[in-house]
Amino acid sequence: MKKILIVEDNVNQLDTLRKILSSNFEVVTATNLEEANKSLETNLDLILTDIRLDDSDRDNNDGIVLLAEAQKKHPSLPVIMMTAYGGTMIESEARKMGAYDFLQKPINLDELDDVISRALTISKIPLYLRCKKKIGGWIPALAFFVLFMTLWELSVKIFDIPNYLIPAPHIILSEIITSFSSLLQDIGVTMLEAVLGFLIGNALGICFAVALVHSSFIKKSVYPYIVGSQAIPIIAIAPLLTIWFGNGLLGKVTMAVLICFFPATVNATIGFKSVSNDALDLMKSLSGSKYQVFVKLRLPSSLPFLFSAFKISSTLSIIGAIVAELAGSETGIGFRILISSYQINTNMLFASLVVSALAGIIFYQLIALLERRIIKWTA
Amino acid sequence: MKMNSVINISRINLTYSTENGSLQVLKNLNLSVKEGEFLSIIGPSGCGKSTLLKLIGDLLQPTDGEILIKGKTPSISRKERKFGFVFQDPVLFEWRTVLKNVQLPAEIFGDNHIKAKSQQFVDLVGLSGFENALPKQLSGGMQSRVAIARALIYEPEILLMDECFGDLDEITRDRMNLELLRIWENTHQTIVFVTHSIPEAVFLSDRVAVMSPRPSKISEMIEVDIERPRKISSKNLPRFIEITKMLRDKLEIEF
Repeated sequence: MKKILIVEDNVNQLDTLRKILSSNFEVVTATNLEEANKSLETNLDLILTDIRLDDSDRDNNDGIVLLAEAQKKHPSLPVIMMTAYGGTMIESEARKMGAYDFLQKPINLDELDDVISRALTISKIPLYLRCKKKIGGWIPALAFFVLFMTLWELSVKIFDIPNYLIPAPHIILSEIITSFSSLLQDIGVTMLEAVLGFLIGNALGICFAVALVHSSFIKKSVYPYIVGSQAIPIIAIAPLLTIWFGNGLLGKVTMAVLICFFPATVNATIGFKSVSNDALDLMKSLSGSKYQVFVKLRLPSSLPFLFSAFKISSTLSIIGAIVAELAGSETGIGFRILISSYQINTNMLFASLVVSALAGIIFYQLIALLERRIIKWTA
Repeated sequence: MKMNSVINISRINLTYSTENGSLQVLKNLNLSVKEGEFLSIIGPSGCGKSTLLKLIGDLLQPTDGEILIKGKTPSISRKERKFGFVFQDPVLFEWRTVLKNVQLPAEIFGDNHIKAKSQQFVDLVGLSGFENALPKQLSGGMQSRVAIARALIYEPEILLMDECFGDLDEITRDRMNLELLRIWENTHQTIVFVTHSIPEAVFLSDRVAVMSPRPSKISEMIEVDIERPRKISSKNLPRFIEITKMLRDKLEIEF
């Protein structure tokens, strides 16, 4: 028979639970942390504990202390928490600490039954389940990658596709390895252009959005043209930029700026306006200045929107830089692509593509990492 | 009664002009609120209860008529930090911790003296230990407590509370009502409390003002002569039931 420890300071509730559960389980009880800790020394299959083990003390969360103790001593022992107050911070804290599940008081008997039987079956194989869950995420993606590469490699061999059309993956890889230092140098130049353009473009976009939010004149007079300008194929501007700024850094940065500007403007505008009327009323009732409303309310509210713009423009900025390089340059990955295409050096073309893509992914992931660091308040 | 009243509203009208013509929300509304009084405003939905609260707190202006807060206009009083607002939604800044949310008014006033009291007010509303929690980690009742602490921290003379417990379940609402009374018995601010709930209004208030449907005015004023401090069991007193019933009848007439 399975052994369950019930910890509950309310004697009536404890008694009810004992009566219900003792028909199917061996039940031990405790009314406080001390007694519960003693029972931890024995062999248990499940703990059912109240979070607040002293009803007169609102800050009591001895149940959590017990959970921590149980996790330390018996990591695979499921602990079910009972609580009268749902959705609190304590609850999310307890989840992080490894609580198996939560039961809302007053306790629903069907639910109690269900949770207990689930906890007891799963606790037999906790490690297996945990591994499955963790690896489950990236195994299919990895499997697909391996499959795809194998098919590619085989197709090239079987159909005897010449190298200058589609090189096999291993040839691309060896090209990357042999030309690594020069590829690195080229992508370095391109990334410098992209990152500078990213920073300037986003900064300008955000400033412009500030102006849009605060002045309906600018919104009415200029904004329609900004939106309309998106119809211009940005690639077609690249030759112009080369004429104006020559083969150097400036033209490439300008191109990246142009590409990043629009998403930043649009998202920042939406973000600045995403504040509720109540929040604006609150600021008004405190007689907050326009500047305070902006810094303390609009700016933080807009951060999630801004970060989605940053993520979009992280990859766009690299595209912008490469396009500008294709139109005229002496260095950079775009330049290498151009030269390789003249030489029909397909291996190098593919190697350049892989390197550019990797740079884009890294840039994107860095922004995403920064986002997770800064924005902790959204679910 | 006029002598010690804090809020004096005389003959205010409020008319919105919309595309489909004008909409009169308040018509010739009179109300005076005494110093240190707990006054509830109750009425059918859409009658302009929240609007009235916003007019007092200078978040809206009446079309005509006069509102005076101890002889001053709402606008001056707002700038003198006379009002603490608690909205229906807690309106917490979700990127700020509990403590930082409570400190918001102090930051806006640039007043470190007030800021230093933030912990005291977090304790007062029973959130000790949750200072560093983010709003999303709190239950609805706890979020309301934060909103109340934020309104209390600069010790405004008048608390304007707009259905602030309306979204809570009944048990939590009862608990919050008790908490509010406990706090009020310490601070004795003037409270104007808008609610949908008749029992809540009776339980909390010294007087309950009943608003008529649009265009609204105060149609009835009921004194709640139930002794304080009140407990949940006060709700079982014959007098409580009597007043509740009386209010319900009045409101039904209004519908």
